[in-house]
Amino acid sequence: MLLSFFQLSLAIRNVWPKRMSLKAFIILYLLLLLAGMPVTLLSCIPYGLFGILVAACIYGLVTYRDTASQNVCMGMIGFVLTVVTDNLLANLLKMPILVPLSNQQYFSFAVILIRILLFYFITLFCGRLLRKLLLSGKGFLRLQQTWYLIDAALLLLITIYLFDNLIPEQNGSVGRMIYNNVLHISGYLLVMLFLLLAMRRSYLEQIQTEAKQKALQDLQDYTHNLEVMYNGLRSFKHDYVNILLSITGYIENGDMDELKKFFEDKIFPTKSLMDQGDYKLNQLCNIGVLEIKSLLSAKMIYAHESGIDVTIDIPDRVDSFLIDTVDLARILGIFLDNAIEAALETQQPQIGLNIISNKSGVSIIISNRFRDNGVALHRLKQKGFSTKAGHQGIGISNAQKIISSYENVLHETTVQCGYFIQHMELTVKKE
Amino acid sequence: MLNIFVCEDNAAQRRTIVQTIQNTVLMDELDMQLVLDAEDPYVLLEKVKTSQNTGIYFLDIDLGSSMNGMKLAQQIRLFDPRGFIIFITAHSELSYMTFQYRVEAMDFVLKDNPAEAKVKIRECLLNAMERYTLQTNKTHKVYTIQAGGRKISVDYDDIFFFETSGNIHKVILHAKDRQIEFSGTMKELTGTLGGNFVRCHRSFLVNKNNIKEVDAKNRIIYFTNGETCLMSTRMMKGL
Repeated sequence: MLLSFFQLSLAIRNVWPKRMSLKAFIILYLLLLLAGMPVTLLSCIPYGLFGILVAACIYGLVTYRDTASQNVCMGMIGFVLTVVTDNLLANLLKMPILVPLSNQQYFSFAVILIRILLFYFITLFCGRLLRKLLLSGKGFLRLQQTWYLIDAALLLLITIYLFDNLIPEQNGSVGRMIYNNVLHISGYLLVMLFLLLAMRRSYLEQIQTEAKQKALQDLQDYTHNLEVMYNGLRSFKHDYVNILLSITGYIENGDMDELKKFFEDKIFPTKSLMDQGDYKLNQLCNIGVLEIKSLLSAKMIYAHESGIDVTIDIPDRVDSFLIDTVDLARILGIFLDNAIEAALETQQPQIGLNIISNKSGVSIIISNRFRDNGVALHRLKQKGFSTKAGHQGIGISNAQKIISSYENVLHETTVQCGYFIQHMELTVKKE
Repeated sequence: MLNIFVCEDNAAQRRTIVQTIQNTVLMDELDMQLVLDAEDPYVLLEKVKTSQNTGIYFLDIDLGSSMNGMKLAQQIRLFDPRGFIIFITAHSELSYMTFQYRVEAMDFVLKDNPAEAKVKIRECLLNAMERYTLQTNKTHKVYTIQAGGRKISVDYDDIFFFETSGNIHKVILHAKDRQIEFSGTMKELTGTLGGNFVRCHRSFLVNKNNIKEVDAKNRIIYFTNGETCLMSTRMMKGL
């Protein structure tokens, strides 16, 4: 019994989403052993197995919090894998060549050893494969909800399997049992598949409507800001005519001293009027992608209102960003939030946004002044590192993950003369 | 010897700029000479075509001609790829990054405040001189990454190590004060980089010159900037 539980925990370790330390492994083993007691002591197999399953699930939920749902799923997969592999190996060892050998006393030990080794490598291999397939974080599998649903489905499926000899009218007939099993399992699988697909659809739709709504809201702010800017310009135009008229008056009188005084007091100060207020939001009109435009305007308006000197430069029209808009919006959102927060810590906060399009793609450069307190760049980029207390420091690493999944994106992070610069180069995909 | 060129359509402003430049060259005893101050970008371009030395170019953006400062700079780049281009302008809305990106402009002087502009021009000249001497004295190797229309050059000495990314077709370059994630594979890199780079782990390619310490027991490599990477027992021998 000890051995089979060891195998079970070994398999779970091999399929686990993260590297499992020895301590964690021993805890898992003990937990499984504890849960598995009823199997042998009370000879109540279904309940005992169910207990083991629940133990694996609870373990998955409690440890490594950030991948909890995936842990549960992988735990159960490990469970199934153990049963399958173990049966396979048992059959393999019953092959006629091996039977006479295994009768010898000293040899049976070697056989067990080989069996465990084989078991280990098979599960290791399967684990690698499964991890690569399931945990690559592509598309739909990135969502937590999916994982919870998959967990529920698997749990239900295994439960059915365990309890199926409690189904009445089987009378212990094996054929009947298999028939029942196949019927149940395929039925539930089908239902779960449909549920998953339906959920995926509704989730995607929900995301889209939310994004649209957000974009609309941001655009309203953008329009409002443009109106304010336009009104400011109009009043300046009006003033300008007045100024010209007064200058004409002074010139006609030939009153140079008065003109000089007037120029210094009234006209020269208007220079500052030109700089402030209009913070080049109009350049955003060069962005043809509505979602991105609204996001950028929202962030830039917020930055400006927080007292940051904002520079926006988008010299050419950009109609496509070459990667998924929702992903880009997430990345830019994270980068800009970070830039704004970091800039606000400085004496003269500054943020720059440059979007430059050229033949081979689009460059996005976000720069901000930051308080250089000697933290090395690589520390800033680590997951879980944050200069702010109470923050998880997850933003950057999330953005990094999204960027990594695109092959046509180059991402450069630079620290230069008190500026923190994020540079993304989105290139046209090679054919 | 560095050649200085100035292109500015406003005669009064041009005079001020030229004055500032000549003062700085005299005062700081810089190895430079003012070759031409022009109003017309085409005149300047003709001169640049025949010039042999590396140049420092002070260009106004709005030149009142069919060719603006940006286009002029792009033309100059064709003849003098290593020249130092500095824009002098009142267009504060055109920010520095775009210029740096487009024509690798060195700096950006705002003429709104004449006193500040003078200081800035001096800084630019000193800076250009420093970079120029650095370039000529040191024959350093540079690793170049090409992405889209952009070339990123990183000095070999600044590179700490390369790391595999989450995406198998991408690699992360860890250098002094910068990290770059780009398309490429470790195999390609190991081939192109010289003998100073050693593959010490399946996912790491390190620059031997920048290693501070090797912890053979825990199989960790420490770099001069405090970064660490792993090494495997099998590939440890390369170090």
